[in-house]
Amino acid sequence: MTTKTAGGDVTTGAPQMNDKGKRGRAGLSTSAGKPSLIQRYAGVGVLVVLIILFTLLKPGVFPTYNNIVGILANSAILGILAVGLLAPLSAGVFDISIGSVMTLAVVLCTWLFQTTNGSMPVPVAILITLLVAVGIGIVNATLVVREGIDPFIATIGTGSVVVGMSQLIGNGTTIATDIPSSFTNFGRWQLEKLPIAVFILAGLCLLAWYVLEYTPFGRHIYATGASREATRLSGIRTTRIIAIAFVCSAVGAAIAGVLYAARLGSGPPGIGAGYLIGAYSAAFLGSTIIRPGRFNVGGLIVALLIIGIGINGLQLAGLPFWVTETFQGAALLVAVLIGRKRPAR
Amino acid sequence: MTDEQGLVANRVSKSFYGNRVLHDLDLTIPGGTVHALLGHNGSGKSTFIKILAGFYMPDKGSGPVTVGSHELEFGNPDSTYEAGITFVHQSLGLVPTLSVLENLRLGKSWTTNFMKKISWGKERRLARESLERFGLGTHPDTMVGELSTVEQTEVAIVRALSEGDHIRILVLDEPTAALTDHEVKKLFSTLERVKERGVGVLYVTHRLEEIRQIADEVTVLSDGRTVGHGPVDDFPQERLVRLIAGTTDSPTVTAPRPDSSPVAAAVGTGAPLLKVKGLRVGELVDGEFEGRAGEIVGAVGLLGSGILDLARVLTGRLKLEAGSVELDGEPVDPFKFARMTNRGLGAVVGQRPDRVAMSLTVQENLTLEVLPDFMRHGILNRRAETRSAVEAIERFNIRCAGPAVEMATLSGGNQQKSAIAKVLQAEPKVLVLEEPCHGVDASGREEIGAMLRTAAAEGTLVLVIDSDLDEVVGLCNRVLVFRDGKVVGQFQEEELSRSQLLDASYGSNN
Repeated sequence: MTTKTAGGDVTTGAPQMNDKGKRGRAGLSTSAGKPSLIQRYAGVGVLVVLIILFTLLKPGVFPTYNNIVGILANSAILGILAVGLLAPLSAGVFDISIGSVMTLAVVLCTWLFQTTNGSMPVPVAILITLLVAVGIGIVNATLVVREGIDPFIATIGTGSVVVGMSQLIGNGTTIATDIPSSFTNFGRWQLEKLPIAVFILAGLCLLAWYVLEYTPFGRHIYATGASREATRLSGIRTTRIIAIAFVCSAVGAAIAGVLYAARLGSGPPGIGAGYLIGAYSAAFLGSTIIRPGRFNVGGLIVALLIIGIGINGLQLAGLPFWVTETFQGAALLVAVLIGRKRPAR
Repeated sequence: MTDEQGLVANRVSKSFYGNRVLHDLDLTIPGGTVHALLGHNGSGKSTFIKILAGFYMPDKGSGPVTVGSHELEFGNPDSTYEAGITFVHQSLGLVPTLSVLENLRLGKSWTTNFMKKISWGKERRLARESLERFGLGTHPDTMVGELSTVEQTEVAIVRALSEGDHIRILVLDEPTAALTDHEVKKLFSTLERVKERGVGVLYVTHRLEEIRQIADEVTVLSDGRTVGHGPVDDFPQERLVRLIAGTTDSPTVTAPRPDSSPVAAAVGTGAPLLKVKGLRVGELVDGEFEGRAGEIVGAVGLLGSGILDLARVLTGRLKLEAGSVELDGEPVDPFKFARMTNRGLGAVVGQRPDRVAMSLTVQENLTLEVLPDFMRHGILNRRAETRSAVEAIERFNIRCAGPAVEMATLSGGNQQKSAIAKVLQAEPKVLVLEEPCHGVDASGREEIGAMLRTAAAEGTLVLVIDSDLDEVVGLCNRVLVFRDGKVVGQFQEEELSRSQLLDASYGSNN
């Protein structure tokens, strides 16, 4: 991740290839520029292997409906955070503040009920929370686009401020009073034991997939991430693209936070921090699958399942609590290594 | 320090892929003298410097190159250092956010006390001494970024010379390109001190009028051959320009152009599509010209002439201090670039990574500017998009393994063709290109030339901003020559020649 100019010429590392070292080589074009089927679906293979492995290891527990639904439910909120994160990563900028925005959303949403003695209508509280997230996205965008601050640093800064604000609002404790039952009913709604978050994740994935794959805007996001200057010179307002991307990730984080609070029925402080690495693991691992070298929705879904099933299976196999963070961190590193080793030409 | 300790280079040649770019260069620089090395872009000057630096291996049979009794081992930068050759490049290589003292000590060991603490007092005194040795009063604690360009150049020279007492030869690569006349004088007084210390100077420059003040001898290169060599007084300015230009125009210049007579009638008629007036920023002082539909206009000039900043302005990379730009009759602010493209401007910049998006596919690059055309019922019609990309690949002969491969897999020339094709897809009214053929091989150049001629024939105004005169002579209907930030000459197709452009670029009446 580097910043070259005040305008902030930024790359997010793994999926972007290094342009250097390829200059001036002879134009022997081979199919090397197109990822092979094996490269594209290796991640899917890993997922299948994991499923078979855990089915053989824990035949009575792992391949049951309840366990699978549990995996999906546990992955859904992380997935919502990660699908929002696809926008800035695709546009070539980091957003580290998403964990903090999720924390704020949990606290703010429940605090709104508490402070109004439960009289605030649920949709209003959710709307206010989302609008605050939009505001944070705009602040991030302003710092990065207008002030030219490195996105990594800018969003660490805003993230920390946002966490501080949520501590101020919630006084650092869990908010659990005056949460209306309609809010928790919403959060605990389920169909065939599939929680609402899974359906919302599916909807957001569909939306993100449509935008990224089938609209000029999506292509402009990818182009901005690939070369901000070449894209700007093509007459595309890259500053606006990056601004919208930051708003997307903040809103995704806020939705994740609201769903978390609604399922729990209370607003504990500081839960978002634990989700940050998970979202990055899923996004980067996803960028090595199906469309290698590109943050893509299909790859993200496979990556979420790899992480969810991997952690679940290892826990069933008897590994304790520390497995979650370890597995997520390892998945992130493996993803970056794979992305780097992808044949360059 | 005697004359023997100067640089003696014998028969230095260099070829790239069988193409000889430097022929048997002989050069002698006795200690305490300044030797000016002149020649246009591609004449072999920088090739020679890079051989001296140990960056290029010269051809077999070259050499020996000696400094005093020390013979240079080719291709080995350490040997260059040990021989006592030091370099100051145009970019200077200073760190603007560090102090003069810190820059002087960069990459060297510090004087420390017994606690390994840097002895700042001592360092400061030493730095001041070495600055004063060259007549510089700059305070060692000043941030380099706060110094003027000439002071920075001087600091870079002092740094190069304090690499060791064994330094005998200083190579200055276009040190004055960014300096004003007054600053050049100041720099020369520093160089006088360098000469007094017995150091020989190899002085590479484009500015002919100044060499008489500083140089003792000159060598002129043209297409890699030494076309002139001797004491500076034997070379009046007109002779130098003639030598630099070469007696005949090079063959690539007079390449046959396709039959363009039906087009020529329409060239330069109608209202101007691009009209700039009083452009001022950076090296541009008063840029003024206009261009009409169907024209291919060249803008040329030497380093420091303002053409680089003209390109930056017209591609939205540099905000104008003064002046106006009119696109198709309407005033525009080029810094708001997306609006310029909406009004019909297309731009291809010189820097390779900025021309195309390397990690996108060829198709995605080619359709980037016209994506909305492929929307059907709110969905991007990929099939129509691919069809259009394949069409462009065939039409412009872009060699690639298909529309779905990454742009990074293409050769530089094909990337450049893709970059131009991408812009042409949007059918721009005005197309601005910066060094469109830089680093492209001969056949690629021809193809790019054909692309631009076709675009012009279809009514586009093509503006080629280029420091390579050969390119524009073969291509343009009209060439504007920039010097000192202004258009100082204008040549129509019929009267275009390389030597005339050079004359105007250097300012022949000097």
